[in-house]
Amino acid sequence: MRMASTAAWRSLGAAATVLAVLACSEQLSAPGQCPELCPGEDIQVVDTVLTGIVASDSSFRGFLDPRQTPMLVVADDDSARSVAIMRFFPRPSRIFVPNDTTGYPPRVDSVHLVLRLLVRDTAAKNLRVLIYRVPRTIDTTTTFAGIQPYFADSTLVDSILVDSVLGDTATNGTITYRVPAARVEPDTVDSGMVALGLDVRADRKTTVTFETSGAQVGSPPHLRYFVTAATAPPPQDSVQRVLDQTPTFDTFLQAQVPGTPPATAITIGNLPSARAIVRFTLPRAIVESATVVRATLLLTPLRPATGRPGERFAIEALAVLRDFSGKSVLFLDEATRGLGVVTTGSTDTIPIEIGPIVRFWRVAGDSVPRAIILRNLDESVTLGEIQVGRGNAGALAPRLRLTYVPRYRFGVP
Amino acid sequence: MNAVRVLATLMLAAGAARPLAAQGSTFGIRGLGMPGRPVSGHDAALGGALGAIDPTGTANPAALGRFTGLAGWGVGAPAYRSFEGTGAAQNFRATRFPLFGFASNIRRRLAVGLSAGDFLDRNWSVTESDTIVIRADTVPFEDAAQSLGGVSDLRLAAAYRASARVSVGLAIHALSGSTRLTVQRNFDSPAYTDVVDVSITDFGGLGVSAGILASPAPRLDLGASIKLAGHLTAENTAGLSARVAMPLEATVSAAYEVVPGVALAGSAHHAGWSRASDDLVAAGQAPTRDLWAVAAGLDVDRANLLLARLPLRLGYRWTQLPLQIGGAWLSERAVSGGIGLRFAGGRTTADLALESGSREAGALRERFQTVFIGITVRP
Repeated sequence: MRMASTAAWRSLGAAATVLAVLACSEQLSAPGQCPELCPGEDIQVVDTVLTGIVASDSSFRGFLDPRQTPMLVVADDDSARSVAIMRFFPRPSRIFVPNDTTGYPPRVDSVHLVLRLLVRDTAAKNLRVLIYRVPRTIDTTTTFAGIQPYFADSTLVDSILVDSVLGDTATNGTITYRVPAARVEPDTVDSGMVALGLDVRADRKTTVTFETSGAQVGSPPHLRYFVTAATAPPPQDSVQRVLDQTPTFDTFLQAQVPGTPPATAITIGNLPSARAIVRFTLPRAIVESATVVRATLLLTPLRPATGRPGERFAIEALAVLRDFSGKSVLFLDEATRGLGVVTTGSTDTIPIEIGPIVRFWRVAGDSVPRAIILRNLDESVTLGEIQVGRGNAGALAPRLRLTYVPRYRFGVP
Repeated sequence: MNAVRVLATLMLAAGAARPLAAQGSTFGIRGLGMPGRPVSGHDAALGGALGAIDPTGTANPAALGRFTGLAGWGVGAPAYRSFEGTGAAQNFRATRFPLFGFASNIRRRLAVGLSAGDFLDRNWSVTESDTIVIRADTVPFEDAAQSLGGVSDLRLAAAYRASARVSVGLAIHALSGSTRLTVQRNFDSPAYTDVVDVSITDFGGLGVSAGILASPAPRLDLGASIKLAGHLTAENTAGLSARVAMPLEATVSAAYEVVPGVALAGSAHHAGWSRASDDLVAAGQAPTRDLWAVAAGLDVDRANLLLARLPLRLGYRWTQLPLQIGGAWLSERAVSGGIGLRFAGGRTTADLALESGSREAGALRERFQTVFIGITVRP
């Protein structure tokens, strides 16, 4: 009797297991046969342009300056005139030979200057990089105007015809060029220091960019002295060494340093870099109830975008977590940022997709401000700047093109 | 102790199961959904002809009088469907658990039972592809809508054996359940984010039923029952609510053993779903109608397999459904067959049934094959 009862329970357990396994695979979806076999309500999509959405905005400059960038921008274009300067580590005053602790003054046989060219405009033919000797006292206080007297024929070390080194089609590459040794001797034997300046000339106005010692990876400028211990006793007098000096300080100097952003514009980009905070006032019914499927912030330029000729740069919109104006805490999530692309010289309306940010506001609720920071995505390596209309600029003010789906009207039963 | 084990097993099985539902149907998108079919494996093999006679069914509380001890039962029903609309046929599969229950004698003449059966099946999912012009761009999209859940009929019943030939029964029914409706639009463009909206609707209601089971002549069983539910209330997460009148249902069934081991059974069922019509129309749904369902079955208990008795069963049913699709009323018909297996000295019965049929409304048709696996344990 007892055994029969146990067997009955085992049978039930086995059957339940079989059914549970069968229940694990489901395939339910049928093609809609509308209107007969579709939900009663259709999904509504609304596309609209919202104006008057900016509660306030402010622009700030000075987040990054040229010394903090990994590039040296040299341009003879009047609108973005700049030169590069660099001071190298002191060259040792003595070199050593094997089995001899006595140091000997090096005899310089030749000197190579090595520059890593990042970008150039190949349309500018006969591009020459002009190398000048500048004072070793250059530092962060040196200005474009202050250094100009040293960019003269009397201080010219040499010029590099870039096409002859890299060819006329390469936009980047490493330039290794032998310069006259006598012109790159340290100012004094004791200091061992050499400082150089770079300028460019071509058949037309142009801009080139070199890598600096500030780059995390890559190749900074090098000044390589190929030397011989000529004063050492024979046979050590034929010992050769390479004294490879990199900069202790390098930067580029702009003829016109961008100043405080104008009060009439939202200003983004350039170096020192400018950013803007824009605070929005948006209909709560849309932001909090509807599903925003696309949101495009439309910025109207007040003047053509500036920067290196032909340069394309991206404007990045980041959500603000805590509004401390220019020093706000940002939501640095790539999936939530918005991007818009600008080309130098363009006055076209700049669209920035900020749909992820608007949806983030819905999720975060009132815990975060409805504000964004606009900045140049690559503000350390581009000179692009755009000035767009502020919130009080009427027809030129920022607008938001919003595509959203209102809450679905579920019925009962 | 046995009662506790029955309850524990049933609750375990119910926990592993999907929402109680007999068989998902694409047509369930209309109205209140597809009426449930809480039948046992034995009854399913006979096309539902046992109806008010089946002690494990939910139609007639008096049928519980057939149990003379503790019993528990459950049914699983894997279903395969093929939907034929204006496009190519689509195939689907789903497994549901339409019926669970247990019963016990608490007095010599009095039996009580608790069961959970499928009342409304609101499991469906549809997809539709189209394009939309946004910002002067033509954007393809796919809409998907899915409903999961349904309404179960929880029945507490008591049967009294007034004599050796007559039992009467009463039951109270609690209608309870919920559905999770998900509406989704997936844009085929990275510029547009997909949209998902969800609403959960809770259902509740009460009803009563009464029935009688009699054996007026040798080898003849007759059963009749009537069930009246009040209103089904529905409230969703958007704050909307509705009350829908539930039908008055009546079932009569008969089974006659023509010769020893060969029985014929028949059943007729009427449900006054038109009571719900006004409420549904007010809620923006299509009207409903009263429905009839009839079934006939043949039960042959004379065959042997490996010296064991192997009942063979055949059945046919025709059922009107209360749903209107595109102006056409829906109905379904099915043939069925099955066997019964006994284990553990007859303490466990496994009833297997295969039902094949179709339901149609105008040009839309759905074919289905459902396997019913019913287990009854009498520990």
